[in-house]
Amino acid sequence: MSGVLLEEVTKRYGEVVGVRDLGLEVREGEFLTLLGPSGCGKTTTLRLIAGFLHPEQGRILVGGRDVTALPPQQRGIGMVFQDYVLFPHLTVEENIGFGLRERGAPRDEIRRRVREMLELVRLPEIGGRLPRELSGGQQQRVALARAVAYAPRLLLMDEPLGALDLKLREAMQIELHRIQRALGMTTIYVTHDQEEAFSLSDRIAVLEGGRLIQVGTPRELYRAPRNQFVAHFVGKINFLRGTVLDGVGPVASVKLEDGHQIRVRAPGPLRPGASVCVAVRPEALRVWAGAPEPQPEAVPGLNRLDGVLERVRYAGNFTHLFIRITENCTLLAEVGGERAELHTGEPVRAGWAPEDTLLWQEGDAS
Amino acid sequence: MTTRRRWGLAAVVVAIYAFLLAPFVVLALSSLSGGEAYYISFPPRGLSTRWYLAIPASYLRSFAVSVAIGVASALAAGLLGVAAALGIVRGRYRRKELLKAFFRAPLQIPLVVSGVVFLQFYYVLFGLTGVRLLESFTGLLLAHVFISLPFVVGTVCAVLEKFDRRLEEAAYSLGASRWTTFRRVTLPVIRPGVFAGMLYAFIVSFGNVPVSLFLVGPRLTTLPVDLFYSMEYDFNPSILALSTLVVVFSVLTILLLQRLMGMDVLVRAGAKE
Ligand SMILES: Nc1ncnc2c1ncn2[C@@H]1O[C@H](COP(=O)(O)OP(=O)(O)O)[C@@H](O)[C@H]1O
Ligand SMILES: [Mg+2]
Repeated sequence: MSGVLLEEVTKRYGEVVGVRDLGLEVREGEFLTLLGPSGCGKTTTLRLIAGFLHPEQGRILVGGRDVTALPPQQRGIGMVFQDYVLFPHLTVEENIGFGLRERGAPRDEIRRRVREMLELVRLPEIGGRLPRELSGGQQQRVALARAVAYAPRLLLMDEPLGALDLKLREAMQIELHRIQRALGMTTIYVTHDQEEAFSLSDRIAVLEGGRLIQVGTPRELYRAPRNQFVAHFVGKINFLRGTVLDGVGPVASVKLEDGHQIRVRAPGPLRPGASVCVAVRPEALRVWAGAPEPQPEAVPGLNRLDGVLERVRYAGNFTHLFIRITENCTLLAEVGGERAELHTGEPVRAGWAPEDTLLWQEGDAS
Repeated sequence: MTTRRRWGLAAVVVAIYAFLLAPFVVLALSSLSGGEAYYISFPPRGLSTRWYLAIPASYLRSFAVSVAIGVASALAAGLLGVAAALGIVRGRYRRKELLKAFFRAPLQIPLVVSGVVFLQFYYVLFGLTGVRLLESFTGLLLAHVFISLPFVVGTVCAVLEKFDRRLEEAAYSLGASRWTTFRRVTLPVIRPGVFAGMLYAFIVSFGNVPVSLFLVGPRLTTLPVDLFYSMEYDFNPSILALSTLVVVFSVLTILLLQRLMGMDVLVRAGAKE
């Protein structure tokens, strides 16, 4: 078991940037997820760590040892690929035992360990079958068993659940979590699915365009996204644009494009007149029917915007409300249960607390 | 598909097979003719195996030569073909098509021309170095490898292009060296293509006349050339019997190989796993 350290790693494919100046630390025993849209460099990062690719710049350390120049055979890293990539001509047992055999483990040892792995992934009965005789979910488990059978220092998984359907994917997430905890192996996981990342990870690294944008626990990313990209990628969010009126003190006031004035928790002192982007999560919004009646004043200090309820999407345990504020501004609110008193086409008022507002200065990436 | 269409299709298929098989049926039945006639009689007059019993033992020698050359060509073309295909498919150069065309070239040269060229080449070589390749096993083998190599290169290229390189990466990450990976992963996965190519190579070599014609002599000759000369100068119905046996031998070879090596795997390899 061991941690991983990437130091300013850069990899280009000709003109195309795979990853650029990527610095990242993965702690021992940690489950870290690389999250980002397709093409952001997740696979490239994994393949650099696995040793299938070599960086033009930077160093890669596994367990404190510089492995940048080592071939994959000597890195002691297990890899699970998106569409399994099992050896089609070998049985499940032979697939799982492959790494042990290559490392010269004695026969009995291999047999015992393969049994153990099959138990671990809960497929004790299928050792003699060929990969093509298995379902997708079974193949994925075998791929995982193969990768961890020889107890590598580090486990890499590239969208391992991407090819499975939703129900199976959820079941497999639970399995993966259980297995990773049971083995205690440092794991780097790749997905473009934010929910999957949240349900599995100790920490998440968000990538965009080959660069690392932010690393943190799911909670940190959700509560304090470093920029609009992260905020948007991690959960749903409403963006509003405006200029600073008063930026001194912990709560700034901002004038929105449509003229409304709101109060925002400020990350630091703000220059009056600066353009800013503010954002509020849908579940932070409270919604009242019958604006402009002044009920929200009952909760002092709340920001409020009036609009028309455009659409209601009932989802069982919550309801999504789409509130049209102006021509080009619609807010999404997520409220619990059913809100029978709200009707589409009627005026509503949305309110939220200044502490629930996020703020970034425009033209400032960090 | 409607029933009528299906019957129509079946009829076309049967017709094509009938057309392809007709010559063989004529050959096989004629060879079983009971008559005394020293010419081809079809339909046969009575059935007998007398011409089979009258096959001269001298053909056994050329048959053995043909089998040996065929097997050796298949093995050599297999080895060279896999190496060439790996180079073509995996190499990093811009003009891959050119390289492919180069390895296909033997197919585009008329076989007779290839035969003449080898003959000339062997003459010149003998004149220059004293190495005698004419009428030798080695000389014949070289020419046969030349004409059968494109078949191996073609089939192996096809399977290699479909091969998922991540299988090799998986093996590397599990600790397998490059050579072990080739032996335990790459080769087994592309094996159906390699076998198919080698089978082609054997058949191409085994049946060849136009190239062998120039390179054999009384001391070393192949069965097809032997038969060819007999047809020309010394016909008797035993030749029909022998030809029939050759066809049966070829078919059995293919069936046996299919049995042993699972040629149907090739079909499966084509379909996505
Ligand atoms: N073999 C390759 N050749 C050229 N460009 C590549 C190659 N692999 C990846 N890329 C490019 O590098 C970038 C990052 O790709 P990748 O790491 O596969 O992203 P992700 O896995 O996050 O979808 C993309 O722009 C992609 O097009
Ligand atoms: Mg990817």
